[in-house]
Amino acid sequence: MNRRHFLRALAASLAAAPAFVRRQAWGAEEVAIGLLVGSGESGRYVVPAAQLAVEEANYIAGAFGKVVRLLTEVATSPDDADKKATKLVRQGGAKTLLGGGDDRLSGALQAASTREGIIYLNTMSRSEAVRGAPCHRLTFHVEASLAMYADAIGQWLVRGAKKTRWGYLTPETEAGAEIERMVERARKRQGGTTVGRQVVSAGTRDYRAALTTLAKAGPDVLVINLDGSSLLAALAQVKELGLQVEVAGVVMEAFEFWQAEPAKLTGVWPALWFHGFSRYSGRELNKRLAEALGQPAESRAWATFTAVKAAWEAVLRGGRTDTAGLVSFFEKGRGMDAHKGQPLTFRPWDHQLRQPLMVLRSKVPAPESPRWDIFELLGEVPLRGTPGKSQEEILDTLGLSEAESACRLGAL
Amino acid sequence: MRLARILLGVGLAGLWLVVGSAAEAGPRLYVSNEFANTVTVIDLEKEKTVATIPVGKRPRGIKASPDRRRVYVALGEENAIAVIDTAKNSVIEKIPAGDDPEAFDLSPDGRFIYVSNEEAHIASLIDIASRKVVATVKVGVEPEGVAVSPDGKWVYVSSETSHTISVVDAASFKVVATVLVGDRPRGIAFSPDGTRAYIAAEVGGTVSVLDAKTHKLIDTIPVLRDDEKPMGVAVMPDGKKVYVSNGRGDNVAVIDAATHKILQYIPVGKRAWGIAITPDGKRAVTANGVSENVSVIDTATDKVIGTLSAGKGAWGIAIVW
Repeated sequence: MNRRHFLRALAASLAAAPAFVRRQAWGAEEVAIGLLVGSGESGRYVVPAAQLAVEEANYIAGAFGKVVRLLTEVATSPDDADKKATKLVRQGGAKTLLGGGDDRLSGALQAASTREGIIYLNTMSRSEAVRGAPCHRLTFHVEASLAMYADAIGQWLVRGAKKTRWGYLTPETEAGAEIERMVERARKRQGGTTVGRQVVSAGTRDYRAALTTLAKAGPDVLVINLDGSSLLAALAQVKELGLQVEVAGVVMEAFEFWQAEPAKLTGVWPALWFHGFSRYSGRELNKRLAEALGQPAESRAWATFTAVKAAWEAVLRGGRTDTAGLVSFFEKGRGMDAHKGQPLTFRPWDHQLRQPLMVLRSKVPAPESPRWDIFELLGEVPLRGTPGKSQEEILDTLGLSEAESACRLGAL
Repeated sequence: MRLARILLGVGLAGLWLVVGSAAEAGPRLYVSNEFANTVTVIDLEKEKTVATIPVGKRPRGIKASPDRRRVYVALGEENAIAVIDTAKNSVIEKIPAGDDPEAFDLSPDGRFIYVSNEEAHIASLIDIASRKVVATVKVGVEPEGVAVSPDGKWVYVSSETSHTISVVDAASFKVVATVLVGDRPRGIAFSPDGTRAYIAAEVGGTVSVLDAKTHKLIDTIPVLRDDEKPMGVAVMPDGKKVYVSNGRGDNVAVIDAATHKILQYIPVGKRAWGIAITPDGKRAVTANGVSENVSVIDTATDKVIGTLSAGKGAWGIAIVW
């Protein structure tokens, strides 16, 4: 994380906050966007990406009688998130909230947006904890769901790499159970088989016995349903044991992997975005984001940039800044350009952004290369040739169907 | 005002008096090859390559001068525009063009180049005689397509990320209007009478039609059928049909300019990017980036009548007639 870039971006957005002016002196209508992030690494990482999106919006906003302003808050807990989200709306005049943190913090933001009656664009949480039964007409998800990540790696492994025999390493935690549930669903959809399953206690960091047992079952791939530092520990032990088997997972945070020793990483991973992506307009966006961030852009930065862009373009294209107008714009399904080469829309029944995902492979960087040079891009998912009558139908091969989801959106 | 005097103060006469080997040769296609760093020169009548010119890094936008003696090609990774002498088919100089020039157009008198600078989010005005950027103007984010109206008064610049057309007054080089068009606008073409401008929107899958006198959007034509990514636009000399190259769609959409209906999709080579129409209106040609060739379309029948080899990443196409 480049602290200098974060501080510069945060200072710029905070400097804007005290004005709280709904209409500027020259008559431009203000479009205030509230970004709330957690106090950890991922929170600090995304602020300059939001700032860049606002700067780019303001290149032309004046020509349409608008000015876009970013208000930023950092929250240390769900309670703090609620308090600061309320401040962003009531004092700052934010018309849209975006950001989040862990699932609890994102949930607090969702609850605040519901209470305050404004839109929340989730850029951080993959979980059904904000998508399933708690889903809401005012919440839209730019971050992909766990089910989408699982389907992406499932398509890649089974259809792309012909790795059909899967073994699972799953922690005895709520999050681990949710990941395994989605992975298992993805395996079944692709026609793979389970050849082993090891459940490890929540507190352990020694996965060697479980990994060895799994490897003996002869899987084509070990699917590790851990996250965070536990995941990194398990990968290091795969390398330590010298297991000659493909490794894959669903929850990969690039900035966590950047901190690890590259020689202790392995596996194939789904991602929203990759700094080496150069198709369509990816190269140009990556260059601009890298300049803003002071380091390469990964999924979190892309999601935050895209959420700000979505919020601004809903106003620009839809012509309304009120909540009902914005919801209506997003629900009508007009595609947006998010630098992935095709128009992206929110699914009408759960408000999930349909989008292609990328599949990355861990690699050992060449000597003297920067610490983020630890992945290579294998390709995009849905794979070419995925059947579907429309681009939306093809993209819907990633994620839960309406019948599978517990989400039932109500009235506004 | 000084700039306006420069722009308005020179007559056209001398520029149209050019004859010579370029005029005597048959019609030729100049195709920029983005990944080969070359320009392929093709004799259209003989259907053969007559030269392959090394030009520099990442050649994309390409235009012929009105007098046909020069072909200009933007070199994105050299921050320059290469100048090809069409008599010798070689690069005779490179003109500094600001950061990452991609697409450009020439003033009708051939004295000025209007170029988009993608990374700087600006358009630049280059005086060819002095080889200098004499003015810049802030447009939208990630500017790409540039087209000058037939009367030379307006310069339209598309901005891919902002989804806008910046209308630049050519005399003052100031933006006088910003028009929201389809998502990720790329190529722009004016009708020969200067009343309409057509803008291809790659991600939107549309062609936006602007009234080029009022600079207002008057229609949006859906082009997306399957995998079409509208990129290049060319208008027939009689103004009756508009041809749109559709990138990954591997085809060209033909639009009736009066009704704005799609007349048909013509399958061409893979990844059709650049497109141009011969001055006599008999042929449309596309530069096909992935199949590394040029498709030749008979505009009377709207069928492909020939495929000619180009280079890796064939991108833009200019016709010397």
